[in-house]
Amino acid sequence: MNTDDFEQRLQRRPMRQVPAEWREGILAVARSTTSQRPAILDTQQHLWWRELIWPYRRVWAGMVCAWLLIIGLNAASFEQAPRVASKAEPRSGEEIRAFVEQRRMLVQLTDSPTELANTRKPNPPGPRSDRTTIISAA
Amino acid sequence: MDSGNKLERLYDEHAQALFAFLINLTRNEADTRDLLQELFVKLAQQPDLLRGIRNERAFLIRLAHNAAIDLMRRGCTRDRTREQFVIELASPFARTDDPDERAFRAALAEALGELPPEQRAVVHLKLWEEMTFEQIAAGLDIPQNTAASRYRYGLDKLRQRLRPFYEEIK
Repeated sequence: MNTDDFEQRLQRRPMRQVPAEWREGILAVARSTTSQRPAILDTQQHLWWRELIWPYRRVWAGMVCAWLLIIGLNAASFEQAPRVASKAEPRSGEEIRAFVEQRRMLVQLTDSPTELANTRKPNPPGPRSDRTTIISAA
Repeated sequence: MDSGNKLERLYDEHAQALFAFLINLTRNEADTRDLLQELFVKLAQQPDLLRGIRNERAFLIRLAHNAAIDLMRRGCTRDRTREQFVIELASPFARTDDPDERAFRAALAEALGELPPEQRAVVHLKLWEEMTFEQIAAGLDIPQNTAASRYRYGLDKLRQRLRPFYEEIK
């Protein structure tokens, strides 16, 4: 059997007919979606919200309360901060002088020879060639 | 022509071809009806969809093919237990009273069902829609050579599968 013959044999087998009763149903639904498209879209959006919110309404309500609490606390602490700052009085000249004196004394202490000896870092290692001479001398 | 009459004309001219194509791909009458419904709803909602289209049939076949592939992909991830209970798949062929012919059509339907969907689509369009490879390529959005090779592979498989019937059915 050659290919053409085989193809023709297959082609002779007729396909099923589309059920006649489908026509009216399919066309009616198609026509109705044309006229009600915005309403259907609104309904779909409404359903989407309902599916998201309604089954977990207590969880959502809890989250809303928690956020309100956080926002409230945040707002309260924000209002208190300027008050604390405003209560601080400017420093007097005497206090500033005492502070400068303390700084000066601290600098003198840190510059003393004992302090220097304690805080001096060890000498960095010399070049390798120097080290070899020390080892050979030892 | 208003949208209602246009829909009716499209249905009368193309529904039979779309039905045969879809039932051959899905092998399920309910899915075929859903896909056909979905297609005509789309056409109703987007009246300009066919504007500028020269070959309406090829364009509608493409829409139907894409929708069927989407459905089959969804079906792969869907509840698989349904497949275990569906033993008899819908045949795409007309019924006949002749027992030999009935046996051949059943074997042909089964052999077609064993082809990968992409080969089955091309074989269907070439044999039963009598479309050219150029039209098939345009309809399925594939290169013409791909359409031709899929047809050859598919036909070879059908020939192997239906060899026992060669001499029995005239």
